[in-house]
Amino acid sequence: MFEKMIKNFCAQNLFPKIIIIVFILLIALNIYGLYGALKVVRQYKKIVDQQNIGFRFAGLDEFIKGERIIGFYTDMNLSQDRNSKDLAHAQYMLAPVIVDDTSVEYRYVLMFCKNPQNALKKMKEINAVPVRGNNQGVVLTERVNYR
Amino acid sequence: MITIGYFLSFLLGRLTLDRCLKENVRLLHPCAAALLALVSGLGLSALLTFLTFVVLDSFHRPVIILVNISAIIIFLFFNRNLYIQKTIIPITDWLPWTKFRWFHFLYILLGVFIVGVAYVIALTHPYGEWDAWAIWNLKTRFLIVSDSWNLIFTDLHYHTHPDYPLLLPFINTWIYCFSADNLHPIPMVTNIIFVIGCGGFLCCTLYQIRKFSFPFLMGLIMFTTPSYLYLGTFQYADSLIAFFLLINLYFITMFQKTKDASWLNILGLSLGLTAFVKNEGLLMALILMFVVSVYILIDKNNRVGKSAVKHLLFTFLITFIPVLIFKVFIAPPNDDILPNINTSNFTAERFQILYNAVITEIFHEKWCYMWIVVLALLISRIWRAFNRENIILSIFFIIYSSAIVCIYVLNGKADLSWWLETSLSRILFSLLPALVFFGVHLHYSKQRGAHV
Repeated sequence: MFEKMIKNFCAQNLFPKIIIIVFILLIALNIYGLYGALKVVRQYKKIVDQQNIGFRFAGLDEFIKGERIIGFYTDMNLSQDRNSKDLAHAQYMLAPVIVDDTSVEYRYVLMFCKNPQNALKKMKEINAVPVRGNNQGVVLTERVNYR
Repeated sequence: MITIGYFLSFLLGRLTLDRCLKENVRLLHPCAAALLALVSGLGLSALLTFLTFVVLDSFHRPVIILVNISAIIIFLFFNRNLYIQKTIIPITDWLPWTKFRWFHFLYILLGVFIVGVAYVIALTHPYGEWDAWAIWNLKTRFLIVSDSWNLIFTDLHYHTHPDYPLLLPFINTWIYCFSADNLHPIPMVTNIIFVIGCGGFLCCTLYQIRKFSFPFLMGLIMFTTPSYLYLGTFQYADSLIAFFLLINLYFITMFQKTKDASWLNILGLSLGLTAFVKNEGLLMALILMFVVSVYILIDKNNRVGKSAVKHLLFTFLITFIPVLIFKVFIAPPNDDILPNINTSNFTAERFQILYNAVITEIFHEKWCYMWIVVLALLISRIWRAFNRENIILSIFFIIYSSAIVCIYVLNGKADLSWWLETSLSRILFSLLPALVFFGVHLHYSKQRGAHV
């Protein structure tokens, strides 16, 4: 019977059948790949429970309610992807307040510096005092006597 | 609660399909029709939401819900004769499981597995990848919480691309009308719907060509490719582009096969929605609109005649006018692509970088041979590409890919290697379902009257 099946198979045009077998193999490979992806996800979940957006800037929105725009100062190069991501993190957390990275001429200025001395220097320069900060390099400052 | 939003959109989409296609709606595979109804309904709900923002300047939950429900009631009123005269029987025709067979369990199992995998992958980045949360989801947040939505066009940063059309943020804003919780699960669910819907729609339409054979398997290969599901869960607007491009090409092929102008009605609406997804979508919509119109006007064997162009133009304008309002009166002009295109930027080196990047990407192991299969599929029947029934799709792919090549090679603003690294895989992802459909269509176009 097996021989008959093979003969029948060969008697017909083989090419489409080979294609179908190859395609079924590819689907099986893909499903195996998906299973592999699930294993990677499980390992990833052991290290990081969930993606965390803007955790450095969490809670600052409470202090700037009613503001339309705040300034942003950093001692890092914003043209680099990694640093501009930090600006995006801040913007995402503080929306709908606009975070303006081009100016510090606002009542509140958010400082995000690698070197704390740079933040202090800038605070003196614009006559600002810290309102809230954390050990991640983030300081929300308010300018004294700001009109 | 958010399921109410998706269900209302499904209803709106289904009523629109019935209105445009009438009895031809039965030519669609029932599952494909359900997916199409959901996606086109989400697009229409987003457009209505956008119009409420144009009038009221900010998020007004009751008004948005009221406008959408009113649209459903208006469509029900206009469609009443279709249902009274039983041209379309809602419960029988709307639900995909009325013609259930035992082997459909296998498809359901496979579908549940793929949805499960997509969901688990999506849970690792519930906010989406960087460009997703920092552009699309950030804009959605502004739309929902800001007093004036115009802020996103004037004061936000350059990297948020203020000129980009906003279909995806408005879909999520519409669904947020039915939520009191955090925003982030909504873009995640919307994206899963689009990526699963696109794969499911492709499989259904290819299944119609030939059951249990290579077209359907081809769809399944794409649907189960890990990279397709991975990129689909990143929450970029490219999942929407992929789906809308696929359905546009499907409507065009159905129009060519049936010579029925009703397919042009739904094509027009869909092209307008495509234009509101992203600037790439706008380019796609304009190219397709031009090519299809020229095809109808110069085709002497066309039974539908020149009046078909009017059908197409009319329905296109219904969904394209909001895009025009957005582009002309609301959004700032594009500042990163168009102003930086200059022929002096063209060098053989840039072309070589682009060529190398494309070759590296399509042969990358992450795609699990998918692109090799697609290329083999296209090349093996390339001589049919300019047959009457394939010419629209062929010309579209040639013009669109040439435009993309020109943009990459002639735009000197960004470092080309970095730009390709961040965007090429997304462009290929958005073209993949349409190219699989086109490849299978090339194989079956001359042989048999597929679909119908």
